[in-house]
Amino acid sequence: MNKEVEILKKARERLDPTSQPWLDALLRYAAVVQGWHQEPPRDSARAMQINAQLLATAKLARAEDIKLHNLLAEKRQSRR
Amino acid sequence: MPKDSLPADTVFSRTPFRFHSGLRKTSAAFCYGFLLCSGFAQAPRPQSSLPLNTNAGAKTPVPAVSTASPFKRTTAKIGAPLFLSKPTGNLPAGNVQLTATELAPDQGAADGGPIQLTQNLSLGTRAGLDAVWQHLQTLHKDWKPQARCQVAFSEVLAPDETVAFDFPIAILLTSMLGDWSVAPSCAAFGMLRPDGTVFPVSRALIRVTAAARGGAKRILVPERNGGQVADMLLNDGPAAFSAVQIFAVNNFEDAQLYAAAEPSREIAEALSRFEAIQQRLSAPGADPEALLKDPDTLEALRGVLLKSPNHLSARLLLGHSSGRYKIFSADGSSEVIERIGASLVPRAARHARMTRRACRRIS
Repeated sequence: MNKEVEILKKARERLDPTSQPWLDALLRYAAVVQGWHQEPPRDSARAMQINAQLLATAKLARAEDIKLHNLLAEKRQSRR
Repeated sequence: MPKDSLPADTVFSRTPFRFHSGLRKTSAAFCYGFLLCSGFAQAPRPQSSLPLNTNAGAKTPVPAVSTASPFKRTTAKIGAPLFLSKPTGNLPAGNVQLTATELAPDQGAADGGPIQLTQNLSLGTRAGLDAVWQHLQTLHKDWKPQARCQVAFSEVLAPDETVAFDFPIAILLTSMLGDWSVAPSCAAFGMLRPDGTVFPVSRALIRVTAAARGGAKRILVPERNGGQVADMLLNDGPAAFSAVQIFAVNNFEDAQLYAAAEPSREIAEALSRFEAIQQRLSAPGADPEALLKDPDTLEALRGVLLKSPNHLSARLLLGHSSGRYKIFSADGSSEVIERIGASLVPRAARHARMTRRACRRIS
């Protein structure tokens, strides 16, 4: 996954501005996952905190994904 | 139509009851109907030697139509970049070979319609095939529904792949009806409307890439998918992009121009001119970016466009040389993120669907 994140970061400047919020949200989610792997939580309180972050960032990434795809579908419809 | 001009073997001319008066006709028909219902009389059978298209639900036999086939060729082949149910490489799509074959009267499903597929008959597919049928009927009026054909796919398609093969199927059938052959390494994708307009389809960047990797040398794409084809240029670079000749098609009538194995003189010249550019860009040690700034290359590209204005590859390479196409289109960006983040995106989606408690249990 680390390699994917690196390539996504490099590809950012070549992507359309409409897809940037999705990419940002995905990278934020990836940062939480990477943080978990680099430094696993020592107590349950910390684990719960990271879990909450994981859920929140994943939901945001999913919401941005759906928003972008809806936008693209609307554009496609209007072109027709 | 005068009575004498009726064909000798139609049902009507063989009916043994002939009436001259309207009143007598009505009363006799009523009595005859009563006898029929009560089983005292039998309906007249036609004495024609021609086969009849007997419909199970119909009360009277339908006269047979001519059995002469409208297809001048019995089979035809074309490639189509379609999404597969089991992707083999790193792309979810592949260059699927479509083979159309004329069906004998006793072959295929009787209620399957004039165009039958060996797989993937969803509701959207049926609507798409109806559009193909409607449009081809306007071009080839001698094609009756009784003359059926079957289209087979070389791979198993993804269940959501429903309409992108309309356009290639229409090309296949029109080549069989019009007696011309499709170029061997030709591929096409797109949606066809009954009026002959070729509509864009989704995920065109992946489709064009799959067709090019699958060995297609000439690809026909819907004009409005041109933005995603430009994404391929940005993704693969000019040298790899110029390995295929891509044509933009807006109307189905143009398809034969670009898909034929023996195209018109103008198109043949455009193809050969672009082949010379391909060789120059892919020569060992060549710098494609520098070559695209060279006036000779630019002049050659303009020459290709002069012969064939719909040559999308030449159009996009010219645009690239003038500094256009630096960022992906909106559709292309979403496809790029999905392809690069092949494990990240589904993982985030899975996580987003979890409840807080399930997430805690897994970790």
